[in-house]
Amino acid sequence: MPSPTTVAAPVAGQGVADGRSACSPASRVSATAWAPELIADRLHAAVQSGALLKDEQGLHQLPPAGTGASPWLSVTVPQGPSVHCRFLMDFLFEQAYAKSAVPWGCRACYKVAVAPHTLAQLMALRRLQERGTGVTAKCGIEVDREITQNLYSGFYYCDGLEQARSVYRKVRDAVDADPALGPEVPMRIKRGCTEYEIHCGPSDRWAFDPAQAEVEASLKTQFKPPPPSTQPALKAKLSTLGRWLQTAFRIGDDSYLQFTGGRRLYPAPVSYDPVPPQEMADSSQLAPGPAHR
Amino acid sequence: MPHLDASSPLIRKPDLVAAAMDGETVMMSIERGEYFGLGGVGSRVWELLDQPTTLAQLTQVICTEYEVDAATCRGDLQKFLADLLDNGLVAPA
Repeated sequence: MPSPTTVAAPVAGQGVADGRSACSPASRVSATAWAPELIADRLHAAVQSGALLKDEQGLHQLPPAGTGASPWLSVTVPQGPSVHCRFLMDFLFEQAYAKSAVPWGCRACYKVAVAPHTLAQLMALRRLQERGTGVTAKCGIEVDREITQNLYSGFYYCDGLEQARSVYRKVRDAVDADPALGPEVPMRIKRGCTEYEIHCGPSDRWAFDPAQAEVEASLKTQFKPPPPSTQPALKAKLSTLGRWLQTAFRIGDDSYLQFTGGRRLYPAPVSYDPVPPQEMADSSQLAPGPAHR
Repeated sequence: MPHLDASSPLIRKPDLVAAAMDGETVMMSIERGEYFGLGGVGSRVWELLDQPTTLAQLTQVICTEYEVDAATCRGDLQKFLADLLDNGLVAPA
């Protein structure tokens, strides 16, 4: 592990000398985020802790994803911007940069975000996303994520702010016109992932150093992408839909009843009046007035 | 695989809650506390099992609605219904 002195030392030619910084105001520290020797130390520590795996050829791999249902359903567009989030977020940002710099590969990532309030609205957004906007999109549940206050979300992945603004206009019009959604459904454009702003500050102040590009290209050659899921696509989709339904029930979003023909997932428990009926009758005879509730 | 008599009707278990979502059928079994899903033709078969229905009747309807020969359809349905029975999603009517 590097000593604190090493971490704080400026690294010539990697952003500090010419005054450019990464994402943190503490530029001297953040500029070292992509110093190759520090990255090597971090990756070694990640392998030791099990956060990363290393195969016999020395390539880094992420541990297999959990077997639970994904919270998201996606619509992938081959010609859309490439979304290599597992490499960029899970490998680069989390492990190689130790959350101290936003990856160069994410600098142009802007998302149009939609925040449905109910499962019924989420399903309506899903229909809109399947209709297509020319960019990759996903929607799903967010209530289990600690870093957001949204219950449900939908995202459209855009390449740059200009494209995001264009997609926003199209999606806003479609959302407004959909009777199951409408103008009250919040939408906004955000940049990159929420985790980046938590650790690296507001996204409108991020700065990127071209030196990162080389480092990231080199790291990509040391990264083995996760194998495609072996679960059949339909099974995965059904598991996700089941999770959405269960989540809606759990958070008291009764819009799920629209999909079950009005049947509750679980029967409502019987409730008992805290005051016995006879006692209530006696009491009302003695002192007429509102019932005890 | 449970033996399926082509003339014995089956019906959905009453404790199952089924949801029609995104063109699929998602079911929850209270008894098992588990989710099950059906897609494509499975969703249509599930609809038909709302009433007591035999393998022979199902084969007839599915062959009419989809491009499939009777023997293949019957074989696929037999496997599918056995799976539903195994998972406690349907029962003899």
